[in-house]
Amino acid sequence: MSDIEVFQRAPITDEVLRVEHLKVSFRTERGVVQAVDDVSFRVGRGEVLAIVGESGSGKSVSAMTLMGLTRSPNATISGSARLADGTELVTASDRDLQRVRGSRVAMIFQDPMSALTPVYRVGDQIAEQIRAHEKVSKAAARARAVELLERVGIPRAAERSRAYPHQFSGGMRQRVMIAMALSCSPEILIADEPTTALDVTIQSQILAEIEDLRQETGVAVLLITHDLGVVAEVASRVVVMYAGRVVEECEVHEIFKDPLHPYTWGLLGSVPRIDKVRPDRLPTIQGSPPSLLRPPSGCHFKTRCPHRFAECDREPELRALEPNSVHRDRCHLSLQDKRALRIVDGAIGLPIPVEKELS
Amino acid sequence: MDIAIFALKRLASAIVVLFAVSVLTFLIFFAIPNGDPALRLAGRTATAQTIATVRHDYGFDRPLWVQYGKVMKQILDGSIQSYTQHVTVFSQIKRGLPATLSLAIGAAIIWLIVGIVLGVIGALRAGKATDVAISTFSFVGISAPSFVLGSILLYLLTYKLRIFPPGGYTPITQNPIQWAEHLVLPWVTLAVLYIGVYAQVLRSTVLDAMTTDAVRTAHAKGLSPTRVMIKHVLRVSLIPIASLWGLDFAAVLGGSTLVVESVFNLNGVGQYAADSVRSLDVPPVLVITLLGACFVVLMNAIVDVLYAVLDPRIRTTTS
Amino acid sequence: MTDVVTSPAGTKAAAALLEIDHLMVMFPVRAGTWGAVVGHVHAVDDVTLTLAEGETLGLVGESGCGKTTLARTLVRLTEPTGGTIRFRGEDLTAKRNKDLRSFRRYVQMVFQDPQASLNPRKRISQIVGAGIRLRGTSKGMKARREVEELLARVGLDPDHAQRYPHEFSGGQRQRIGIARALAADPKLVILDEPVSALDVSIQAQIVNLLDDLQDEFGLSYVFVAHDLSVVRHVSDRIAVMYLGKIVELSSSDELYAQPMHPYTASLLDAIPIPDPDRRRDRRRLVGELPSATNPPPGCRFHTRCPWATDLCTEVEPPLAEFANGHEVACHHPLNVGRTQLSEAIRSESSPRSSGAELTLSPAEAHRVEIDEAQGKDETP
Repeated sequence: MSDIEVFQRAPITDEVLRVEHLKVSFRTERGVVQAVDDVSFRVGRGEVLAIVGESGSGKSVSAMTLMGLTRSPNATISGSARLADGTELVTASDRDLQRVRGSRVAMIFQDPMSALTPVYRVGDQIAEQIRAHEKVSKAAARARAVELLERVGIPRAAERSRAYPHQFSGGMRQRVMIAMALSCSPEILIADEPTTALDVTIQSQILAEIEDLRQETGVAVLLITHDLGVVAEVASRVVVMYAGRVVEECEVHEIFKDPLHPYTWGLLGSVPRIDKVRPDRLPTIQGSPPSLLRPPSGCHFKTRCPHRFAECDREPELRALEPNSVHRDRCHLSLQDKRALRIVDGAIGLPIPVEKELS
Repeated sequence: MDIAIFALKRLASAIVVLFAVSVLTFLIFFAIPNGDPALRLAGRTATAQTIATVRHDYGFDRPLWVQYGKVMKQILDGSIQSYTQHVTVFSQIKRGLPATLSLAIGAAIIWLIVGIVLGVIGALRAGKATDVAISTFSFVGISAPSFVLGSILLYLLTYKLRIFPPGGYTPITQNPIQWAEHLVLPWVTLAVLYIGVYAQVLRSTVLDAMTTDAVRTAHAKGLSPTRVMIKHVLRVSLIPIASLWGLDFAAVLGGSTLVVESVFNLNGVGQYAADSVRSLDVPPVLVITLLGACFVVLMNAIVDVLYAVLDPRIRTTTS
Repeated sequence: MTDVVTSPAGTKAAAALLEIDHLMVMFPVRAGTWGAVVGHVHAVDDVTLTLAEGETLGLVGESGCGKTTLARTLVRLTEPTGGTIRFRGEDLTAKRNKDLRSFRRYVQMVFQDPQASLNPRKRISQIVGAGIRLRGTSKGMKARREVEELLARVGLDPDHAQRYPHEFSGGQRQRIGIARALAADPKLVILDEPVSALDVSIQAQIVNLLDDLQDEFGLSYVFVAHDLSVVRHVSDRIAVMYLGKIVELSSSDELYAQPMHPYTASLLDAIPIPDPDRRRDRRRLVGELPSATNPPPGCRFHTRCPWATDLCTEVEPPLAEFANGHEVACHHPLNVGRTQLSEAIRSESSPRSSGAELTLSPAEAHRVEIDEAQGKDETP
């Protein structure tokens, strides 16, 4: 199939990152784990692309690989990830990658409680990053750190910049991480489950902060999350991953209004909603994700899919079902069937199959 | 306010510890068969009458607690004398102290530096041949008794290859080069055990630290691997090592030099203690044990402060 | 019922299963090099709650609100510093460890992290079998058969009884944790964030399983969670906690339809809804949780509340009880008319430190602008 052709039809004119055929596998004692299996996506300037998936879907590994954080003797990485000016991240030397990290591509992580080094003042940790990429004096870097802390909503920033990480709450530490990530005006901010470890009221503050900064600085955001609520809140486009592969890619509205992959239906169905009448039982997805040591042949979701048929033993390709559409999915069902099958009891979901457990 | 209270508590517990140590050491000698000090004081050819006189003069016929009180009083005013040589214990200790301090301080510096270097190399080369070699060396060092190791080194390097001078101690003020030559083997002998321990402890704390979220962040910031290693991995990993070092140094000075001093005939405090034990001479043993205990208690307090200096999580409270 | 815990006082027929009365749990806070006690965290501060037979009570709030401490105190993993807990009329707080044995089989706990709460060196059969032994009725082959039946019931393969916890996925391990709790044949199960560590699709499976088991075994649940959407799905009634206090208690449906406490309202408002058309310009709760060592005087929420008045900074609001049983600890509740306000009574569950009289007036009358400056200025 031709990814290039599909990309050319897409409306993104100004892209900051293009990932193509990314594959990441790890050698373990029990065999080779194919964590990321031929993943391609693009991030446009100033947009928020959400990668959605559950644990083991490969979403975090993909993001970490862009930063070179999965490099190890046990890892095999192939494919390509290029920035706007053509800088290749996958094959970059460690030294070249070091220059990109923190300055052109920055990252924040899930657990702000442990993400900072405990023995240094937060202002100094931000200044350290600035000085790693720019020739400025220590005093100037510190002054900029204070400005950044102020910008992300830390009160009394000058004073707080001299405090240690443990003297901040989780939400405040995540603000520090955001300030640090944006300190060198990167082109892309990778946010790996940035609010998962935070309370819901703090989550909404942090999401708003990221959104404000995106509008102000034009930084593109690659948001890794498992939470479809967060996706609806901030994303402009969505990539859904399952067992190492992209199974669906579309605009944010389409994922909720016109989802085409059965896994997406199941995911949408199993989220308890406070804005809807509560059902007697939560719709679920049967079984659990396949082992990446020995994934099933053909479609990776077929073991849990109530709509599977003979064709599913052959690997489906990621394709658009309508001409000129940027909405792509990886499933053999016809568009007509999909639109009929996805409604269960008046809402999008997966039916509960007759057999109790699919094997 | 709080610190004053805790300092007082600390002092009180130190006094209890020292009291317990002194009583136990004192009692041990009376529990030893044939430990009667009057026999030694009276000399080889003494008659029963002389022995009895000595026993009475020294108060060995008084109740134990009275004797204990008398000994402790003499220790505190510094007048206590050896039962076998008629010299004050403190003068003997003062004579041996330079050798003991040279040995302990030198060895402590060696094992700290070498331990850290080997630990870091082991962690960076984890699983490779270098790491295996360091681990093997560490475990051999940990398990080799110092008198065996000392004897082997002495035999090989001094008597066979004649690289180092035979035992003895030259004061640093007299001849620094000879001072060092005489101490190289004792230093190595004493340090090897701790090098092994420190290398292994540091290897595992560094390996743990390398996989923390904070270090991942440091890499993501675009710092050089060297900077990440020194500023973010080592700085954190060295916190437990620093306190371990303080406690081990105290333990060495409080007694572990004894064997090494004897093997290399350094005539230090440890050797003095060993000789006194051999001749069942209570006062020196009691004094040296108490000094050792004092030092351990003191180092414990220093380590607590050191810990707070190195780790802001302990120094500053979360409000 | 034959297996009622014997009570010297004789159990009242309609007595609640669990009565928590003015429960207090305080932890000393140590600080500095010397570990001096510098204060106390009022983790649970004068909480009164009841749980009926067969009911599910949801306990929600943000981290540090005391919900998990309360749950742990119910199974005496944490010792209360004051107040009483009665199980079927019998005071558990007065019991010593030995006497607690007989009670332990009636109240079981399922923990958040199934990985950490199962002994990695024990086989599943041993883990689940321990619960059966606690009951003391089955031994040998009979006990083994019961283990297998339980495993099948929670959706695991009975043939895997001889495996170790690490051989299972997260969702399966939580099923093992549930089987372990059920093995003792409990009446009450305390579920401490039982699905928080699981993926969404697995979460739904476990929630449905808990639902089924409740009906089948006649269980009562205390369901502790920070995720308000999951809590709504499972609970009959929900208690919202803030800094160690109950701020609102109501039937599940009413709480979501008509939250009365401004804190509850902002919690609900903060939940992102999976619908991009509903991207709301929401009222975002400003600031962060104040220190639990030194909580604000009066209403503990007043530092972050857009409707706070002088009264709120001075008098701790008692729980106002409305005709339908809805209770709220707020001087200026939301979503409630003047008539209802005038008919409200001071609830018996009110904390002892709260105001003696109800002083209710609607929130809208006191509307003030959210003070942005006050907002982020709460240093942790």
